Amino acid sequence: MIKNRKIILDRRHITEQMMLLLMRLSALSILAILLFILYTIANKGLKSLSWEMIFSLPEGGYYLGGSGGIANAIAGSLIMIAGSASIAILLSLPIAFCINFILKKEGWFSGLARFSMDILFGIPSIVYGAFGFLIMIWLGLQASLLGGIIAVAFLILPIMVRAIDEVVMVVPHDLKESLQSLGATRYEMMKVILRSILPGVGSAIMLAIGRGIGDAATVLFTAGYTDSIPSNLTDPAATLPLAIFFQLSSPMEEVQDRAYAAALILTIIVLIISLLTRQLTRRIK
Amino acid sequence: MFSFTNTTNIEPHTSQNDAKDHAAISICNLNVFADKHPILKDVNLVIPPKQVTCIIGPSGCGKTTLLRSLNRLHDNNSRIKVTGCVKIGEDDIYQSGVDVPALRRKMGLLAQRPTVLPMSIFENVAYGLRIGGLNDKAELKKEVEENLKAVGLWEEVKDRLHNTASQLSIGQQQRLCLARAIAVDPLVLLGDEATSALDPIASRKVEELLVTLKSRMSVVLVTHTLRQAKRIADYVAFMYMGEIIEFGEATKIFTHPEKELTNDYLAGSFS
Repeated sequence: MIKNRKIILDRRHITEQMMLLLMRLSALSILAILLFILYTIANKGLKSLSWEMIFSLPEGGYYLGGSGGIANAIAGSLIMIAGSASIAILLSLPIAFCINFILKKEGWFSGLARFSMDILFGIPSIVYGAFGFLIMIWLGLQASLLGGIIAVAFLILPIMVRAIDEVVMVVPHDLKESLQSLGATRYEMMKVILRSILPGVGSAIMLAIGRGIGDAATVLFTAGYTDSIPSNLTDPAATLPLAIFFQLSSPMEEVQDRAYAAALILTIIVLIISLLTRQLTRRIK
Repeated sequence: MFSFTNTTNIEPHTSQNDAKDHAAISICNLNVFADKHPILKDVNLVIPPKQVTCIIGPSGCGKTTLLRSLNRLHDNNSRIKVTGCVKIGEDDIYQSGVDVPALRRKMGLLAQRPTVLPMSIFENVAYGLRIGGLNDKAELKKEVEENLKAVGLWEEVKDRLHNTASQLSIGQQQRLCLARAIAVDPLVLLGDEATSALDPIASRKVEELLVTLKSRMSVVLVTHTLRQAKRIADYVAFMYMGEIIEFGEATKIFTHPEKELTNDYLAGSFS
């Protein structure tokens, strides 16, 4: 009897240790993947990275190893994500608040809204690109900055809404009731709650920006590509993901290395936006 | 004799008409259902004005449900249905067209756990006043100071009014919540086990404050602690299984309860 009990205890102890080891290895693996990606990009891209690449426009034959830079793609990506993120923020906050504070919590409409967001979340970006392309044809637009902004906004809207929705859902119920007990209207309540969840909203925006700025398929048909910086919304716009794609497709090793340098720039931009968003939301809070 | 419940006749401290004329809250045939399951059954009660009324009873008897019915907090939950009436003076708060935010301003709430707003100590007290339309800086400052003094917090926080409220201790946070609740000058202050998350010293401070506040407003407190009810209650309502079993003056209920069930509860036979 005592022997049996000891065997069971030993088995439980071994299982516990094995599971802990497995979880540690899993956590380490994600860190290893991140470090491996950063190392590869930095290792291959740093040798081609230069101020000229960041601040110059591509000159003739750039994609065949000629001189110049990718300032057109950097500017295009920044302008496009600023436009798309602005549209998505303006829409996602009211949507998330409506689902959580206006619609009935267990009601069919809030369920349907969340379900729709989940479906949109899972749609591949190339579909958004094709959809944006069709809309542009209907509107008589050519591949342009505006087309890219709209298509990327479609892509990141469900990501932003679902991420903000998750943040709003965990707002303590007591906070809502405290505000209601002071006579706050729903709008007044939302304003205070927004202040309390700003860091979470910042993370949601970052998540969406990270996805939007790095997506090539959405902008392939909608924004097009050009060697200049767009001067108005109807001009075509170059973007970093497509700059990476075009350079990586080259058979020349030197041009391929430039693709990794462009990937490094893209990663650094996302990092800077992430840090700025975090600082800004903290300061506002 | 005046009927407070459908099952019990209890003699109130005033005559029927007098009680109704001055009643802070009259509750009549109040039923609350959660998914058609009854939680409160035909509750009838007149809560006297400017007194401390404690609602006592075992866990799950419906005390908090009753309290939350008084400022329509069940409106947030579509699964809960409320029937009957709750009147403040002559106005039924469950009538259609009632301005619910305005109603809630009249019925301040002190929750079980202190929930400070994500803003400064000053703004926590000023918030209710601001949304009520007070924007004059000097007036706001005066109101904040007065209400923080009323809850004995002024001396502790006067040098850090613009610090985040969440930096205060739990006891201080609860007193801040009390200052915030009374700043909007409600008719009734509802307390839902308002001291249960506090240490004995902080708890005693809040109790003393609640007693002093009855000169300004009615206080209705749900409590699980009989000793607390004995210390502060002027009136006591004993609930069991969603019904008001007995209501009356605290001294009478604690010394000579009319109902056997009340007696058993007070004797500790169940809790």
